[in-house]
Amino acid sequence: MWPKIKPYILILPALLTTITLFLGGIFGGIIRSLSAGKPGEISFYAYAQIFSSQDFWASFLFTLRYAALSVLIASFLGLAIVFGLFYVRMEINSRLSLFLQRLLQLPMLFPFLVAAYIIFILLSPHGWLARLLFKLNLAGENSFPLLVNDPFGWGIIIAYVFKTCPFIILMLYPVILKIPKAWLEAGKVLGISQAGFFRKAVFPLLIPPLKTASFIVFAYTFLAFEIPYILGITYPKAIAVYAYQLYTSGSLSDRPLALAIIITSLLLIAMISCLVHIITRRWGKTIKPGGKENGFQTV
Amino acid sequence: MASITIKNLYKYFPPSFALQIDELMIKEGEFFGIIGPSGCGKTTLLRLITGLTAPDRGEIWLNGREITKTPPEKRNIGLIFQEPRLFPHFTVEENVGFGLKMKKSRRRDIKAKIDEALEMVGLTGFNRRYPSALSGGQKQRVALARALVLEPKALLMDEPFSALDPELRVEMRFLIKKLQQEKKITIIFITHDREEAFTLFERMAVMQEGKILQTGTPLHIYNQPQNIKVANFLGINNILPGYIEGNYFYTQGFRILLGAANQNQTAKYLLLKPESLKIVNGEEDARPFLTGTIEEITFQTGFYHIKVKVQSQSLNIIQKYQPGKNFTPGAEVKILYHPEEIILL
Amino acid sequence: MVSRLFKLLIPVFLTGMVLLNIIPLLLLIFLSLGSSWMWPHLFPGPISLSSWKYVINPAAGSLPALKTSLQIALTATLINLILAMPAAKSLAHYHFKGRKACELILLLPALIPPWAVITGIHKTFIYLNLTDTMSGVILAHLLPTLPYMVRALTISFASIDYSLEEQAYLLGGNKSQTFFYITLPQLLPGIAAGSILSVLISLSEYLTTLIIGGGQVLTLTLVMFPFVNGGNPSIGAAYSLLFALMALITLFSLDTFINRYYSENKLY
Repeated sequence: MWPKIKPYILILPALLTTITLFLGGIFGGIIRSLSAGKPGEISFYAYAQIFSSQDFWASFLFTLRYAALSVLIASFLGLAIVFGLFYVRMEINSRLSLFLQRLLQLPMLFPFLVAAYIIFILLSPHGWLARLLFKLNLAGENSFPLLVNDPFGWGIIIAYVFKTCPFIILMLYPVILKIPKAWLEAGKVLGISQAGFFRKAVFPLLIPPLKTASFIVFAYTFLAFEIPYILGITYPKAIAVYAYQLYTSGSLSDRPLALAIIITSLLLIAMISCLVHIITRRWGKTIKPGGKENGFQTV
Repeated sequence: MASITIKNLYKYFPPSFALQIDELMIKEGEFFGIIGPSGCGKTTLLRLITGLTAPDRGEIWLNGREITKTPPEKRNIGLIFQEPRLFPHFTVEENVGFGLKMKKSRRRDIKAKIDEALEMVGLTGFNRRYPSALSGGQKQRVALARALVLEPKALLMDEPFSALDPELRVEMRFLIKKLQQEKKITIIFITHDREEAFTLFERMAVMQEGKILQTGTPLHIYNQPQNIKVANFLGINNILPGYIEGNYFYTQGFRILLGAANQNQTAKYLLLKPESLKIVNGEEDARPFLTGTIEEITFQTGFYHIKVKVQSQSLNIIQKYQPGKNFTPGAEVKILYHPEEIILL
Repeated sequence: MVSRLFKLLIPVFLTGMVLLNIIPLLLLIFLSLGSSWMWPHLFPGPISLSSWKYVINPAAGSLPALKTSLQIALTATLINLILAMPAAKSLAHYHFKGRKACELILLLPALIPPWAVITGIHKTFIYLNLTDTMSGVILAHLLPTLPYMVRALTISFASIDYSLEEQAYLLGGNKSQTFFYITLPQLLPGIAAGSILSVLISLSEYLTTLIIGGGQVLTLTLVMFPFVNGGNPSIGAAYSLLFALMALITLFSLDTFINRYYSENKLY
């Protein structure tokens, strides 16, 4: 009997903690989002309210746009960098490649709010880039484009790319480490260039971890608070900022609304992710949760 | 007084393998071998003796005490595997001293014992090295020292030298034989190599498909194998099916004269040891002979291994190399045999 | 022709990317050391330590905040280790019904910013008197950090060489000795990786700490927030660097501690 229940006993403490905090949080959120009416009654008032609110949909589309664009740009950039690192590893020096990879990990040391701050001092209308262009006579004092607190969300996107690209590289780089040099040499004998080799042999291996990484990044960015709070604008607000401000607005009657927004967002993220997963399934092997090459890679 | 006794030991491995040993006794200080083809259950037997695997039923006794339910760490039986299994994060002396440290021996004693054990295996001065800096043979010596330093009640070895180079293997056999004679250690040694068996073992058991086929000294088993499986495994590879009539054994196409001692009338097989046959071309000899055609010749360190076709059957012959005496494939030859060296089963 | 262009482009591209990572760091350093940053100067005016003095000044409360940050991060990491160790062993070594589901549940919280989930049990925290306390914040910080610890340790457990444990038993080691001397050393790289991630995530947390700590539990991210959000740029830069420094030193000492532990707990 003992050996049968042993794995459950071992996993129980961590599982209970996660269930209490995570599932408890989500169910708690669902229950509270349904408690807008009389005490003890289920009410869909909060959901009716946000679904009919233009502010919510504006926020939602704004958030979806910057989250999706950040992930796309960060993924492409991450892939390009990984290809560069692959080239350096194969053709120049594998230690140099590892060193560069470490350097590119630098932004992971900073929290999201510092990433936002860095983008602010670099790209604000009087920021460092504006000054550089002014000094080089490439831009006048007031002709630098609005890149932070802008209506499109470019500042937010750039900050997210800056912060999440290292994570994507971190997830992809171990794949590169596993590719033996002999493969490339065999490819050369067959007359395949490095780029061709990367596309045909390496790229397919990168797809599963890339999908996992971009899924994590997308889901996380969608509800992360600091960057859009610092680099966003007052209308439309990012979902996280919108929900948080409703949550703390002082009036307790707004809290079910805030929770309804969070729950709706979680559902929409889940739906979008499933959709993207189904559409891109043909690109590579399907994501196996917990598979060694797919899950969270660690340092 | 047996050091290790096994009674009615049974272990079943789904779907179809079972190890069953009705009785096996190993004397104290004996160099005991277990020989058999891979997959015959040799390793399982060692794991059962050490306690790493629990039997379904049966008993294991060590020096008059039943240890069937004792956990491995309390048995003090050493086990050396084919791979050295050194702890990579410990130095040589930490590896060797591990068992003593676990028993909480005194530090000074540990140091002295480690040095003594390293000297026994010829690795004096290697104390501070890490396993990664050792060769395959050195690693196996450390593993040996690590087991010996605990003065185990028995030392079990599971094909310990089969991963080493041939020369190193011979050297290690010599070392273990010497240590066994000096220290009078009880050793159970597994191998599938009959050369190793004949060099090392005082007594041995031949195992196949989870069962012991025969026990005895290597020579005794070689001279009187109980069945053709044992004979075949020990290298007696001329096994002729047939029947006895009068003074002869009749097999396909020819007959063989039997000696006075070989009158087992019900025998179905006649076995000829390859080295008991001798090819002569021409010289006169009074012994009985067969005639055949040479099919194949290979030369191995001082001996010819020759295959000769006699009627529809092939006979294997091992014959000492003699300068000036050559054999050619296709040649017709006379094969002499000794009627007294024939085995009938 | 194409491949030659390619060979030239790759180093240029990589250098550019590395620069994009280093320039902000340098800019933060310059900015924290300047007194004013007038348009259109690329670098701030005369060197001054005033921002650093402000940050270090006891009245600013950054040192207690730093201590609070570390206390929370290290305690949460320790709890994570205790929770994740058996869970990871279970996930890596046993095949039981519902293993995949358990793993999914354990890893799922890494996908969602913790504040969004915490709002759902905020009421329970209030009810249990956990709000405005450090224990409450630590508990909340388990949410985003535990998945990374579980993942790192599961990988570590999966790569353990069990024949060495067997060997240790044969040499007379009991269960706890074998775990301590043979299994644990093999787990250390995973423990280090999981701890580093857990510490880093906890240190960076902002909104969760604010919601559960109610402004009473002040971590460094909370103290620096007004400065990086449109406050004095020089002080914001100093805070950012202080944070990076704290993270680096913690990670570094964690690494050395684990290595020391590793070598000190050798046999003799």
